[in-house]
Amino acid sequence: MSLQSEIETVRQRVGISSRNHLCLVSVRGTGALALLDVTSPVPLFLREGQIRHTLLLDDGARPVADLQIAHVEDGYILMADGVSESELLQHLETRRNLEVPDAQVVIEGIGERFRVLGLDGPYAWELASGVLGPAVLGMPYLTVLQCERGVMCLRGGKTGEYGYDIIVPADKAATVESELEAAGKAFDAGRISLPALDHCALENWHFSPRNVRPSRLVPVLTPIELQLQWRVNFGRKYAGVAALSRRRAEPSGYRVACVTLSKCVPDGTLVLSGTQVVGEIQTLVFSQPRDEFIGTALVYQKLASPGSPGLSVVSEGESVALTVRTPPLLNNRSLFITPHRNPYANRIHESFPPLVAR
Amino acid sequence: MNPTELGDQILSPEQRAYASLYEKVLGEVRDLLIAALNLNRTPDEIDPDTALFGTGLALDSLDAVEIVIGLETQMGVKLEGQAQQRQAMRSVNAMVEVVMAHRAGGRS
Amino acid sequence: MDREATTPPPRVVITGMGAVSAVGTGCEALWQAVEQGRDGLRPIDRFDTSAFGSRLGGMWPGWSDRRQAVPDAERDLASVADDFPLMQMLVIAANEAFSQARFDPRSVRSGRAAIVFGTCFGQGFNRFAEVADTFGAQFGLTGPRITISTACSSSTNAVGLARDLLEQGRADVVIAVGGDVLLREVYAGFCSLGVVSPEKCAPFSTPYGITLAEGAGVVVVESVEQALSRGATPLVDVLGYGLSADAFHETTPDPTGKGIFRAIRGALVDAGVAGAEVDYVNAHATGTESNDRTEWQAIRDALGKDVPVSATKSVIGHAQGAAGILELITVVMAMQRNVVPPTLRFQGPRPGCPTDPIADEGPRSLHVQNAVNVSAAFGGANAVVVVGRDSSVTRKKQASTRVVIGGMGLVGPRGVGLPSMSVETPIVGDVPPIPLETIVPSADPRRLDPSSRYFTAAAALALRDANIVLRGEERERAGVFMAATRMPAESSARCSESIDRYGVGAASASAFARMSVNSPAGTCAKMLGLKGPSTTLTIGRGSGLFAIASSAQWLATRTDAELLVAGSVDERPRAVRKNRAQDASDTEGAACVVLQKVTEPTPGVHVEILGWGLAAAGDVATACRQACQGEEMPSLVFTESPFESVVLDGVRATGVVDVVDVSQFWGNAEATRSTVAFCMAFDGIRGDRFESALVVAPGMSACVAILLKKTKDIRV
Repeated sequence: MSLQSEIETVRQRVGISSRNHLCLVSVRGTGALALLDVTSPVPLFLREGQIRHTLLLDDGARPVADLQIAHVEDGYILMADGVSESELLQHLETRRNLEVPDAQVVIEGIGERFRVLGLDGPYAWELASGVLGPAVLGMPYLTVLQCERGVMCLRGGKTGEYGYDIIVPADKAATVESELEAAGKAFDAGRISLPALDHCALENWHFSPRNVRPSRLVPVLTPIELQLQWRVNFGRKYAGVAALSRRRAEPSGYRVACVTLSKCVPDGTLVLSGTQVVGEIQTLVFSQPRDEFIGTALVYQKLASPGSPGLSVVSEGESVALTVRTPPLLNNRSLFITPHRNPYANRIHESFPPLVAR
Repeated sequence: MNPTELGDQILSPEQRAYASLYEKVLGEVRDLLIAALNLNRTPDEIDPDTALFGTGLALDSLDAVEIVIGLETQMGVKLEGQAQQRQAMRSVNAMVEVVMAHRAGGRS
Repeated sequence: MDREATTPPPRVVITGMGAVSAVGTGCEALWQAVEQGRDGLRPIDRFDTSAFGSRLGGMWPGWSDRRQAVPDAERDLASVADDFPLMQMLVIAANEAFSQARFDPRSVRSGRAAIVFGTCFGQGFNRFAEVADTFGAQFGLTGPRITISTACSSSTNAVGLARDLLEQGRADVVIAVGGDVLLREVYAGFCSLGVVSPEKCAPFSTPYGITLAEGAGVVVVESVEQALSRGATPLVDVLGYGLSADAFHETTPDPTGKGIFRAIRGALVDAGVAGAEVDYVNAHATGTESNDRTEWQAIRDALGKDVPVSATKSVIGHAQGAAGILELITVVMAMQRNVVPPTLRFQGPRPGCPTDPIADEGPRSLHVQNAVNVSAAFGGANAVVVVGRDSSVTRKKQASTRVVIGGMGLVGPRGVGLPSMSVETPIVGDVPPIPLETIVPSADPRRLDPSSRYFTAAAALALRDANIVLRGEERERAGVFMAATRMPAESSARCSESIDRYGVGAASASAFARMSVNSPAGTCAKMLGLKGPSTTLTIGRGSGLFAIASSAQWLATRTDAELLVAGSVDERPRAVRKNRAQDASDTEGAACVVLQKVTEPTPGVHVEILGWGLAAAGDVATACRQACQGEEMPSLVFTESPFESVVLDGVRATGVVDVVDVSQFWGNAEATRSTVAFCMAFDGIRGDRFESALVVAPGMSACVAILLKKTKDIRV
């Protein structure tokens, strides 16, 4: 499928993916919470069955991974996007040695024993429950459900549509995958790739480590610039907190903003106000529903608010207007679909608001 | 030159006015959220594009009611209908936009 | 604990019923409406509804000319609410029930006529146990008076508890009561939650939403032998009941329906009735989006079939604390006539709802042998009762299992832990800031009000003291029995303030959700993942001890829980307000103990609950005698408040009784001082300072006593 077809599949139906880029680590023992408490930039407040969406920062306060921590029956499962299993294990060991050396905790990479499959789309819930059981239907956002056959279903999603990460024991992965594909036929489901997921994440303002580029204007982009402060707390202990606190005390003055353009420009293109440099394009993609290029740009704070006038970039010698907008940029179909009430079979009878408000 | 070293001077009058108006409303919205929802955050920690529901601040239906009521009683903005409520509450900035539009509409 | 394993439990029956509801006064009025497919939902005159999204309510016609005043500087909310005395409705319903049962309260031996009263908001939002007391005084019902406040499931729970008291021989007759008045502030709260339908409610169908109502119901419950010997006619058997906690959200039920499922299953097991044997279910079916579908799923899963189901709220609206008992009364009347009541205004099912909820214009012919009544409530408190005809089902009584105390936790004016007993003056005051995140790591403190914080902390500390970590399915067999005598003060104040400041259309939804008496228990259950049987009780002063005793009873005789956290909370109001009915507790705090069933031989030293007693308020001798049945009464007694120790002379054969008056140690905390007394006794036995102790709460509405003893190497 072409990239645009994959994106359309996610936006209108359901996409099936192999989430091989994610790594899985299990943390168990009486000291597990103590370790995670000095690893996660936000307090976990996790009851059994809940997931906390957090970040992994390096010592410079740069987010290196999007991290989900799930409280399962016998401990915690960490699912990270942006680092390898060994990097994550290393990070945890470092935190343990530094902060809680006496904690009784078992840290184990479990990537070999499991595979992660993904479902994303307005009807992902229907496909997931069809294969994994009706209990999926009632899952609140950011919860984990233990299903049959040792399968764990995590409800999350980074596209703005219903999204599930399905962690399957390696020996059952092929079976479950083919069950999803077979059942997916009833939903006109399709296989989708990581670039499609990252594109959808960008459209919906979900953080993906691959959507963040180094910047000439600000050497390290921290959660403050990246508008990820909801995933950090300043009074806690974790890698990068010192650097982050310094940045807070002496702000860079920039933040990333959601921008749209009629033409595409390369990453790193400077954003101008008149002739003054006020920012830098991070990354752009073409949004078919919006029929324009959308993405993120690092912009001087005072000009980073939606609707700020007078911003532009230069493309092929010409000045092109840059508009700062309020994300998410789409009226995601999933907003108007309630599990139970709006199954796929009924969609022809329903009139949904358009993906892009006019 | 790094614009942040220059400050407001690099803004045009139009930009300055816009930024000032936006920041005022953003401040009000942040204060409302912190007070109504008992958030353990300082205003500057609430990024403008932070989602309110699902991800971001991860508020729930009870919080939603508090926000709608707070918008009306403390900021004079009544959200009409589910569609407008849903749209206004997707993020902090979405709320700011609705308030700015409401106030601009009121003046004209 | 109380009955021999070989004695079959007595058949418990309802012999009289009385009802006051939106469709009129009396059971006959209720039945006529059901039979004619008529509802009692009308535009509200009692208060101005223009600020709300709806104008409809199910008011009692008996007050159709009364208007609710607006609280002001002269009259506060409690005073304004007193223009609608709940007692008036209760008395009418009681007279009808007593008449049908041919019941004369004066004919009951002193102290043997008990009351169990279920209510959401009591009288004026601040009198709960007091209402039961007044009711008892009014009719000369001199036994223990218990109030259950678990929001909308209160009176269903009450009927179940009535059955328990009779089964345990703690009363000769129990009057189960449910009642609530519909006032503007309650209407405002539900409207702010967005659950009130703009039209008449249509359970299982459209439009979504509830129609609020009020009412009162009374049933006379007694053993069948006694009924027959009195010449009363048994109307139906109360076969069993179940309780559970959703542990999910303040106002939304667990969307998988598992919470309600557990309560139904617990009720069926208790009743000895299989799912296949249930002929009809009267659903809670409020009409909300989150309840109806979920509940139907739970009903089907629990019974294993598509049982006939209907929603009586379509007739009388949602009568709050009276809902359970009024719906049960409807079920009984229907069973008597070999029909099942209809669901009105059903025009096709919502997704996931039953296709045939008896959506006829009147009742449908059906012989019902066994029926189930479901109630689900805010805070996730579910209660289910099973009734049946002329039952020849002989339920084998569960042999009494032993119960030990695993640990305790306490939060008070001195912070965390039980303070030392050597104090000059009683400990009084507020709880200082406590590090909740270290005690309950799973709890986001953002939305916890003081009562929830204190109670959850005490419960977590108790579990930690008992060295218990619950995993997975174990949570379904661990519950919370909480005692509280008032609505949580801060949440209640915040809700009132939001209305005062911004008007009735802007009531704080979160404050309203959190101001129900059982809210701290629900929050605790959610934070600690305790999904087993749960309830919230009050007997006024001494309530905490009653919660502990009730938990011990539950664990000793039922099979649906291994562990119960039992305790209490008192919260001091921050602002003093006029016209308070009761002087507020001057000492706030919470205390909990963990009680565990012993099902395997357990070596080591334990503190065991050997027995407990329940009697009329102040009747310490009877309560102690019951508690010590078959055991030697200890020489050490901890009491919640002073009593004439001479009354114990008849109870203890030899030796002087040493009475520790805990009111010298702990200030006035209505619910929690008795819990503290229990903790002191437990702590002393565990610390080897004495071998056994009796803990007593002479009480305001009932007297409770619990016997604790050190035991070694328990064999079962």
